[in-house]
Amino acid sequence: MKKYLLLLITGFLFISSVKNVSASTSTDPNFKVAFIGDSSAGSNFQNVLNLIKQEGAQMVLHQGDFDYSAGPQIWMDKINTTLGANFPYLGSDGNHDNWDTDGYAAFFKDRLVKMGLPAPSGNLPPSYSAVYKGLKIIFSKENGDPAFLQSQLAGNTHTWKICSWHKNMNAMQVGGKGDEQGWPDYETCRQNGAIVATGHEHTYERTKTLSSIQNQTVDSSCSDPKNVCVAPGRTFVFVSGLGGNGIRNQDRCLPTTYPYGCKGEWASVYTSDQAGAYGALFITFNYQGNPNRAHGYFKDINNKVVDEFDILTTGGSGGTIPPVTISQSPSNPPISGSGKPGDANGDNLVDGQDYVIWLQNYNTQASGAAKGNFDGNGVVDGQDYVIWLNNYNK
Amino acid sequence: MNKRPSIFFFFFVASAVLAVSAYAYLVSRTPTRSTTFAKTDKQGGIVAGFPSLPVYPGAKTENTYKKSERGLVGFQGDWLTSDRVSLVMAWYLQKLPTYGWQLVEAPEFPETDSELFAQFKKGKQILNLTVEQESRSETEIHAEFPLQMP
Repeated sequence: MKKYLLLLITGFLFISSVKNVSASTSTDPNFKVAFIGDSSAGSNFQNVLNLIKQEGAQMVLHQGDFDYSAGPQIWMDKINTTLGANFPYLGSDGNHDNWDTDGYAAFFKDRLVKMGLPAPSGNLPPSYSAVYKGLKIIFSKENGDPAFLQSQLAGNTHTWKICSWHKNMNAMQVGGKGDEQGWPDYETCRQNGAIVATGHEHTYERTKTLSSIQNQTVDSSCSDPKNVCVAPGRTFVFVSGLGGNGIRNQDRCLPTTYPYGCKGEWASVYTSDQAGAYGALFITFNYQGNPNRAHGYFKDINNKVVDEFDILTTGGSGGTIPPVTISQSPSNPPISGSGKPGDANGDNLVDGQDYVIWLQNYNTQASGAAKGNFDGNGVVDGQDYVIWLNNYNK
Repeated sequence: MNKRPSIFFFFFVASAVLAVSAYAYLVSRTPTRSTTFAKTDKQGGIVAGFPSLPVYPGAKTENTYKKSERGLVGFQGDWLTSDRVSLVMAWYLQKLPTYGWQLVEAPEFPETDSELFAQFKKGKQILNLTVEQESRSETEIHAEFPLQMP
C-alpha cells in the first residue's frame, strides 16, 4: 500500500514538473527575425531589405530612425515592394521619427492587424507590445518606459522575449552616443530575461552575457563571446544600426580588435574602423529542434558574416522577478509616505504613478520618498528605481 | 630490472609535455589585451596631426581626437553650427573636392535636414562625414577618419 502511495506521489510530482516546463512557450520552429535600425529610405536601405529577403527572415524588427525626412511613404513603399505589403514588420520610435504625424503609428498598427494580432482602437503608442509566432516583443518609447516594460514582462511565460528601443546609454554602444534611454529599461529587461535590441549609433556591436548591464558585468558562468545565456537576471544587448544611413566609428572600448577594452563586455564590434558595411542581425529562434536555443549572425550587404553566435535560454520568468542586489548599502533606511519602500505618493501601492514621480526627479538632489528618493541618500538615482522595481505591484 | 626506470622516465617526460601543452593551450584561449593602442583627445581644439580639412564657416570646434593601434591611425573631429543640415552638407560637397577629396558615397536625400552622410576618399585615406540635427537650433558635424595606415 505504501509502495502504491509512493508511486502515486512520484507520478503527481512528475506530471507537475512536466506541466511547469510546458508553461514556457517557445516560438515556432526556426523562426527567423531580422534586426535593423537607422535606415533612411535610399539605395542602402534597399540593399539591406534585399539581404533580409535573401536570408529568408520571417519578420523585421526595426530599432528606429526610419526615413530621416526622406519621406515616410518612400520608406514604406520600399518595404512593400521588397518584402510585401503584408510582411510582418514592426518598429521602435526613433529621435528622427515623427511617430504620429509621419504615419508610423498607423503603419505599424496596420501591420499588427495584418499579422493577425490585436491592435488598439486609437493611435498605436510608441510603447507597445506584440506576440508573434510565440515571440514576445516589447517596444519602449524614446528615453525609456520601464514601467511599461515591467508590466509586459512580469509573469510572462514566453521562452523568447525581445525588448526593443532606439536610443542607448553611453556604455551600451562603442561610439559617441550619450546617456539617453536610461538604465531602468535595460535592467528591467535583464531581470526578466529579455534580449535587448537597440539602434541609434550607426554601427553593430553585441555584448557577452551580462549579469548587470548598468555595471557592464560579464556573467562569469557564461562568458564565452560565441555562446550567450538568456534567463531572468542575465541577457545580452546589441546595437544594430547599420540599416543604411551612414556608418560611424569606434570611439570607446578600444582597441578595435578582440578582446576589446572597457570591462571586456563586448563580444563583437563592427564599425568603420573594422571597414564595416550596411547589414542586419538575424536571429533564428527555436533553432534546430531545440526550443531553448537560438542562433544569431550579423551579415552585411556584401554577404560577409561578421558575427555568429548561439543563445541558450532557460525560458519564461514564470511570474517571479529575482531580487536585485544593491552593492552599496543605503545611508539611511528606506522611507516613504506610506512606509512602503517604492511608494512615492503614499497611496500604499507601488505602481506606475510612483515611477513617474521617480522619473520626474531622476538625477536630482531630493530628500524623501515623496520625491522618489527611496533609499534616503539625497539623490534620486538608479538605486531608488531598483527599490521601486523590487516592490512593484506588491 | 633495468626496464622499470625507463618506463618511469617515459611517463615523466610524457606528463611534462602534456602539462606544458595544456598550459600553452589555456594561455592561448585566455583573451589578453595584447594590442597596444593610444587615444589623445583635445576639447575645443585640433589635435596634433589632424588631417587637413576645411571647417564650415563659423562652426565651433567641440572636440577632436587621434587614436592609434597596430601601426594604424584614425581621427575624429566634431563641430557645432546653427545652420541647417542640408546647407552644411552642401558646403562640404562643394568645398572638399577642392582639397583633393573625391566623393565616394553621396548623401541620398541631400535636401533633407535630419541627418546626412557622405564618404570621401583622398589617396588611401577615407573621410566619413555625418551632419546631424542635434536640436532645433544646433547642427553637429562629425568628420571621421577610420583607422588606416598613416
